[in-house]
Order: sequence, then structure tokens, then C-alpha cells
Amino acid sequence: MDKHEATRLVEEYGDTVFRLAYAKTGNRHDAEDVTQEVFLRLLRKAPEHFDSGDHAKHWLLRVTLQRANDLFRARARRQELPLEAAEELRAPEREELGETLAAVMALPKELRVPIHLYYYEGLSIAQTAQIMGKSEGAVKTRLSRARGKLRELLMKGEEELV
Amino acid sequence: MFKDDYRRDMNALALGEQGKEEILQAIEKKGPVKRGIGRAVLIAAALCAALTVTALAVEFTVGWESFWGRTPKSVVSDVRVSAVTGDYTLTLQEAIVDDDGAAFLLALTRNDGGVLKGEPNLWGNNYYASAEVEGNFPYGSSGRFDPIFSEDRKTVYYCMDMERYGGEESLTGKTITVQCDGVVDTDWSEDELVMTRETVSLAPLAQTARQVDMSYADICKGQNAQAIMEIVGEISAQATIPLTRIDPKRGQVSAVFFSSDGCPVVVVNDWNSTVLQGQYLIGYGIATTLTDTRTGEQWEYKSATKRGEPGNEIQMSVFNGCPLTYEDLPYMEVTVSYSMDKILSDQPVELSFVAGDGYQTTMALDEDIAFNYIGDCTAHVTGASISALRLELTFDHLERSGWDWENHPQKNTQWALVNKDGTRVLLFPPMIRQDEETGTGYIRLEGVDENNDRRLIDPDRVDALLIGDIRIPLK
Repeated sequence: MDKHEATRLVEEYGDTVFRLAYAKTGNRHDAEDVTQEVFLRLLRKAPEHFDSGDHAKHWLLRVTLQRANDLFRARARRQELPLEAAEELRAPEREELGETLAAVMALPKELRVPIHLYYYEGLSIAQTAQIMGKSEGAVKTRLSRARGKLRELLMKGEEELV
Repeated sequence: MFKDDYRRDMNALALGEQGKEEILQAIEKKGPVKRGIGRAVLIAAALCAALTVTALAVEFTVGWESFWGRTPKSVVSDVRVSAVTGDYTLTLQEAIVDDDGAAFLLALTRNDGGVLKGEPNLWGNNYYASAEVEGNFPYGSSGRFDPIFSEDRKTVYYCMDMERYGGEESLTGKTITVQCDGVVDTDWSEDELVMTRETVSLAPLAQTARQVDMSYADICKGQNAQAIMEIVGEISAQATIPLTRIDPKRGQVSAVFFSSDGCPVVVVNDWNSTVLQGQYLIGYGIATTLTDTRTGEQWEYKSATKRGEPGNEIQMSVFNGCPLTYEDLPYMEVTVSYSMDKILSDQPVELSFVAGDGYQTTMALDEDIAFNYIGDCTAHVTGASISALRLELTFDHLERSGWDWENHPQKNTQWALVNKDGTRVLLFPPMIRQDEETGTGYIRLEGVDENNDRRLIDPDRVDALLIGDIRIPLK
């Protein structure tokens, strides 16, 4: 893909990619890293032209999850740390989050992504499953589990979350 | 509404001008822009130091530590049940079981002992692995973690867990069965995503489409399913639009018709994951988007309904709100979404074992505790159960003074287990369930690391629970 088209897609979908990366990684620094990698991959590996804006967006969302997974995979071999050491490693700055976003970010990361794709991006179960590379059953299970936990956190009724 | 609140909060987060500028610079030079010493680098450096100190003192179990950190062998049940699926052997190596759930470590190898190609996975678009207890599913909830390859890429490890929410019986003595549909390659589709979304012109159906004498509401009613199937049969006998480069004979837009109140309905024959041709499995076909090619305007489907019997099923997408009529069909396109897997093995397997007592310690407590978790809480704790998978505190009374989102998460109480050697395991999040009638319930916490990624607890090493500054001995 040429630089001009890639630049246009940064303008159009930069925040879309960043927000999904944030939902997955849980912090701004990692989300910015992932976002940069996604658009570099776009430059190197994307089709010359996307069929539509939707196609471009779905490609970017899928690659965002793959890049974020790579980030976690690279950190997978962890050992136990004394608490003091762990606290030193905490992110220096904390994002000011709204209460609903804060509740979502309190969920395990495997539950945050389907919540984001389904409720923020407005994708269907089938589309969410495609982007995540999971079965529809897996997405439904995760959404159900996430809703259960969000109901506890937000004290919302069933009809407000479904 | 949750959806609106979440969108509002998320919209307040943005990449920012500096972040965008760095990406544009990276695109310009076609390489990453150095962003200073990142947090990830700092973490890696510190972890290396910690590993140097502790590595000699701890015995590791191969596999688990890659997912969840240090894993003491005492908490792991050796299972070693294997089954062959095509060219692969799937082994349920080990399980970690407690009263409230279980986690499984599975390993996949080639039968010939060779290097694994691609990204063999038990979970794809149409394939799935799950666990049953005494033949019942689901058991509360289940999750899985991204697969990890051995360094020689001859083994890929999968980790999945399941947890009960309460109400179900303990797992002890129950037969647990891990089952999977087969093996798929999840590394093949990135550059071929276009194949999972096809856009075709509806012009070939312009002559066969018609308005039916049913409203949108009636079309969706189950009692009219037979009538709908007959209408689709009549229309599709005249013309269909083939789909999919993989299997154009089976994938089709079967019909377009309009409800009496003007809703366009696009019908795709439903593959239901049954089409296996060569290496590919496609399923879940659904018409998702209508486009007016004259204006570029698009409409997403509002509902999708499956009709018919196995072997002759259709997926009906209704586009209520779309004002176009059958006269517009020559200028309309439909985008059909379907999922596709590259199949490495289509032979399902089941791996069963009987759960033992699980490795956990329980104790009676009589403690009044206070903590903040999105608000101030007090509780009278009557017992604790510690397993590798979680700490559970039971209470006979809990009160919450209210929800304090403004000061969350800064005010949240830090929970941690203190080990006998002074090291600590962070705990998060406190998931609280309370019976509204009796007031009793439990607080359940999982071991986590500094990124809130799951970690295991070693019940033999735990000495005390820290709730903020309060220390509760766990003997």
C-alpha cells in the first residue's frame, strides 16, 4: 500500500485502532505501540486496495488484536515478583477513565475485547467472532460472562446490558 | 444505557496529536519510530533480574508457567490422556482442579514427531474446544488463553479454564471431558480476509424478487417459517447468485423479497459449518450490508433468522429501515459475511478423566473486614478457601455504602497474599456474589501480576492475607 493511502487511513481509523488496542492492553503506552505496529503492517502487508471502508476497518481491527497478542506473548514468561518491585513497574500515569470504561477495564482482557467490538464498534456476534478469530459460541460465552461481571460492577439490570 | 455510557467514555480516549505524528513518521520512514524507553522494556529488565534470583530455587512444570507464571507441581494433577486426530495427537497433560472450577493444559504434536507448520489451533471460526462435567455444558463460564509453542515448534500448548458461579455441585469425583471438533490453522487468513466478506450485485435477482403478503413482524414469526421456506424455494428455483471462491455451488444468495411494509429481506443458504471441501470449512453465512451503488448509501441488517431443517436451512437477513424497493435491485449490492477455517484435522476427539479432591486448603475465620472496591464495603468473613486458581472468602454479612466511581481505581484497596518467604501475590479483582435473601455470599479473587494477567497461587506457601494494611493470618 502506498504511503498516501496509509496516511489517509491513519487519519480515518487511527483512533479506532488505538481504542481497541487500549481495550486489549489496558494502558495508553502499549496501545500506542500496538497502533504504530498495526499501521506499519498496513504499509507492508495490506491489500493494495480495500473493497470498502468496512473491509479496511475490519482488517485493521483484526491485525490490532494480533499485534496486541504478540505483545502479550512476548511477555508471557514471567516470574513472581516481590510486591515492591511490582509496584515500581506500574504505569507512571493513570488515565482518567469514565466510570463505565473503568468497569470494563476491570474485566479480564479476554472479556474486554468482545465487549468493545460488540458495544463500541457495533459489530454483530458473527462479525465480532470473525475479527477475534473465535467461534460465535466463544464470543457469546465471553459476552455473557462479561455482562455478568459488569452487572455486579455497575449494578445494572439485565435489560440495560443486553 | 451501558452502550451509550461506554461509547461516551471510550470517545474521550484518543490517540492524540503526538501519537498520530509518531505513526505518520513511522509510515514515512517505513519503520518504527523510537518512542523512548517504554514500560515494556522496563518490565522486561526487572523480570530478568527477578528470574536470576529465584530460578534455582523453584521447580517448574513444563507448559503452565508460560501461561500463568510459576506453577508448583503440588497443585497439578497428572492426567496424560491422549487421542489421535488426523495427523496430530492431542494430549490432556495436566489439570488444576478446585471445588469451583478447573484449568487444563493440553499439548498438540504431530504423530510423526515433526515440526508444526502454521498455527494449529483447537479454536477457529467454526471449530471449538470445550469442557463438560458429567456430560453437562456449560459449567458456569469458561475461557482460554493464546496458544504457546515450544521452542522447537514441535509442540503447541493450549490452556483453558472453567469456573462455576455457584449453585452447581463441586467438581470432586466428577468425570470431566475436554472435547474438540478437530484442528484448524489460524495463521492462513490474514491476507485473505476478503474471502470472508463478499460483495455481489443483486441485479441477477431483479426479475425474481417480489413483495410478499406478510409484514416484517409476520416474516419473523416462527409460525410462518414454512410459508417463508416455500417462497424462498420458488424464488431460488429461478435464479441464485453464487458465492465463495471455495465452494460456489453451495454458497449462494438464494432470494430477495420485500415485506408488505417495505422491508428488504435477503436470504443466504445457511452452511451451518457442514460444507467441507478439500481443506476448507465455511459456515455462518449471513447477509450483513446493502449498498445503493448510485449513492454509496449503506444499510446494515437489523435481524437475522434461521429457517428450515438441517440440510435445507436458510439465513434470512431483514433490513428494516432501508427504503429501497425491488425496482432498485439492479443498483443494489449485498455484502455477505461468512467464516472460514483451514482444516488440519476434521476428526473430533474427547479426553476424559475423573477429578480428584483438588488441591486446596480451607479454614474457618471470624474476621470483620473493611475494604474499598468502587466504594466502601464491610463484611464479616466466616471462612477462606485457597487453591492455585483462586482465593475465596465466604461471608455471612456484607454491606456496601455506595458506588464511588470518581475515586476508582485510586481508592481501591490492594489485596495480596503474603507467602511464608515474604513474597506477595497480588489479588484482583474482588468478584462479590451475595444471596439477596440470606445476605451470605463470597468474595472471589484471582492471583494476578502487575499487568493484571492471571497468575497461580501456591496454597502451601501462603501465610496471610493482606487487605490494605490489615493482615489476616491464614493458617
